[in-house]
Amino acid sequence: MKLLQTLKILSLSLCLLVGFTANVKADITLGLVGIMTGPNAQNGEFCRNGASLAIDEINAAGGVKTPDGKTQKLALEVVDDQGKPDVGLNAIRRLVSNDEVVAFMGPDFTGITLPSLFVGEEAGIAQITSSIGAAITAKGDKHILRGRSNDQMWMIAIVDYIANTLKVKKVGISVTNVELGRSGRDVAIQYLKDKYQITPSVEVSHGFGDRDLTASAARILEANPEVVINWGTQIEAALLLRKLRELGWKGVFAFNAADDIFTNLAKQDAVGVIGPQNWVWSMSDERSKKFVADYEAKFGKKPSPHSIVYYDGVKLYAQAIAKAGNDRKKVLATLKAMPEWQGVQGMYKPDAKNGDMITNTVIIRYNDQIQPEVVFATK
Amino acid sequence: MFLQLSISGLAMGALYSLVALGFVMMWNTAAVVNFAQGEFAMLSMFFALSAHVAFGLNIWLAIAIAITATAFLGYLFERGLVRPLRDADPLTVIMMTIGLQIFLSNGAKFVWGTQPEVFPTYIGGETLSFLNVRMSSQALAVIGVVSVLALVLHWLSQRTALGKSLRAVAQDRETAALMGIRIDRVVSAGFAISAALAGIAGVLMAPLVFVAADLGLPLLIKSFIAAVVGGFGSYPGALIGGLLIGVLDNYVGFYISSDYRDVVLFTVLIVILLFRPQGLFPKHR
Repeated sequence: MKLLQTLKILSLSLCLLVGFTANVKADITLGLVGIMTGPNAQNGEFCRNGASLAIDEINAAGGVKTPDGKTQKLALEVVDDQGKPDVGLNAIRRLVSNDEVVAFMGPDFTGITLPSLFVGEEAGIAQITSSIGAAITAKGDKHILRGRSNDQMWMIAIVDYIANTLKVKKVGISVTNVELGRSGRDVAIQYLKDKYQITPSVEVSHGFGDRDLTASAARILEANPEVVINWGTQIEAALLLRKLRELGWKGVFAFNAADDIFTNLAKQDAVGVIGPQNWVWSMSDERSKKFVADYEAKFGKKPSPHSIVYYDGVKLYAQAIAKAGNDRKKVLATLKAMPEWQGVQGMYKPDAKNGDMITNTVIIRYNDQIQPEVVFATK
Repeated sequence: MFLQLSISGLAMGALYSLVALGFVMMWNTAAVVNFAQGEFAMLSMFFALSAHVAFGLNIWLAIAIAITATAFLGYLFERGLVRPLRDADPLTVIMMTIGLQIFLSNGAKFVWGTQPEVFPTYIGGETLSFLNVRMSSQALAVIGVVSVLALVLHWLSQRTALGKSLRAVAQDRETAALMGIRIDRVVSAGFAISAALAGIAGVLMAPLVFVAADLGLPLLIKSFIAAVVGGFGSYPGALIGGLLIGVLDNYVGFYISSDYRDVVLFTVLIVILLFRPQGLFPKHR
């Protein structure tokens, strides 16, 4: 009896203590999981910077006013997935198990997001990801929201651009023999055939890690397509492009991951390369220009296509928290009931059934200074 | 296109030959199959890149330092890891070299990261065109350099005291010792030369591919197949085996599919082991 009484008193004291602590807590915490250390840390830096910029802007304006009348500042809890699935899974578990985290963002790598989706789903917490793998929103998870267009949308945009704008008839397909490459190839071939009645004049594939792409390049040269759509990874793409130029092929090279890693490797060969993206810093609309200027002023460099996803993601979460408060399940429900939300990247539809909130895709082309220019944008 | 594929294949094959020659030298001097040979080539690339980019050294000086450093690595490998296991079971030695391969590959990732790097072209920079073939001057230079190296190695082996000592140790270690040859020194020199060959292959290859920490293993596999196909233990065999593998790789990739390159290479390896295990150009005793 005495023990029971003691336990009751202790429990009550604990509750009061927690309650007291909760009452004086000023921040609403958003989580971010990304690559913060290791060789791909630059990727995580862009993601974190985008989120930080948004949080700073919101806090500078006073914070988020929640339904209970309080105005609270946002805080960001960042966890590192190191670009590895096992580390990412543990990082997400850690983040989600923190009850103070109202919603979270990331990861970026599809290979980390896909196997860890169940964590957020079980916890009923909103997750905005920048991963482009189409499979992420195909599983039926209700908590996942994708903050940019996926790789299938990118392939369709590239094919539309090639057929409608470049007006080519002779197309070659080249893939790195990984899941990303094969699924991209299948989408391209089907779409070319169904919409434009175009059959690729050549299809080549090369292994992930291949360093001698002479054979693939020679086959492409022999078929001499006007455009080659290459779907896969940056090293193989840059090597293939170099070999194609060496062999004298003059066509247009379209590549799904024509980013800084690729241009760093391809150097001058990257001039004229086209590629799909969700957004790029050279967009000409006023919202993008302002975002780029603010980002550059704060971080001293241009934002990546990832940065905008996390910037808009924080702002979207702030909107939901303003309506729902800091209960994670209510935040998720509020998002899922939101038909539209205007972000810098474009119009988001958080209530999209599968979680693909935005489908905006641009096609960029690298100019003579190896800077990306937007040549095509989907509506 | 046949000529293009053949000459391009010879350029890559020449690099496999160099690494395979290193294999053979280590085998002949110490009966060691070094599964870290590819990593020596990879490290040489990074040494040269770091010396040139991080320390701002002239590219040729950077290359010389890289090859020297790799040779020293080979020496350390023999002194620190091979010599203590001299009397151990061959399997133990093999496992040690596999462990070293994993250690060096992951170590390189830790030090230099996993992002690939561009290595500047240092032999010309233009594409040359002849007989309907187009190749970079760097790739053509590879064929030239390896040809010269093969002659130098032949001269070293036949005309120098070190070369004769290496051959003596390879033929009969005990008798060589009785003849006054310092076995340990000769073996160390052999390992250093072998690693240097991998280092040269690395710096020649670097401008043609992108320098990355995962280059070692694929290079090892193809070079090993080249050494076996040519005739393990035979220097001419390693040279010709490498060239054959390079050319075959291109033919299969073009006429069949790049997806089947490794399948065909390993099939060739199995067939050779089954029907002519001594290789196409076996070592003559």
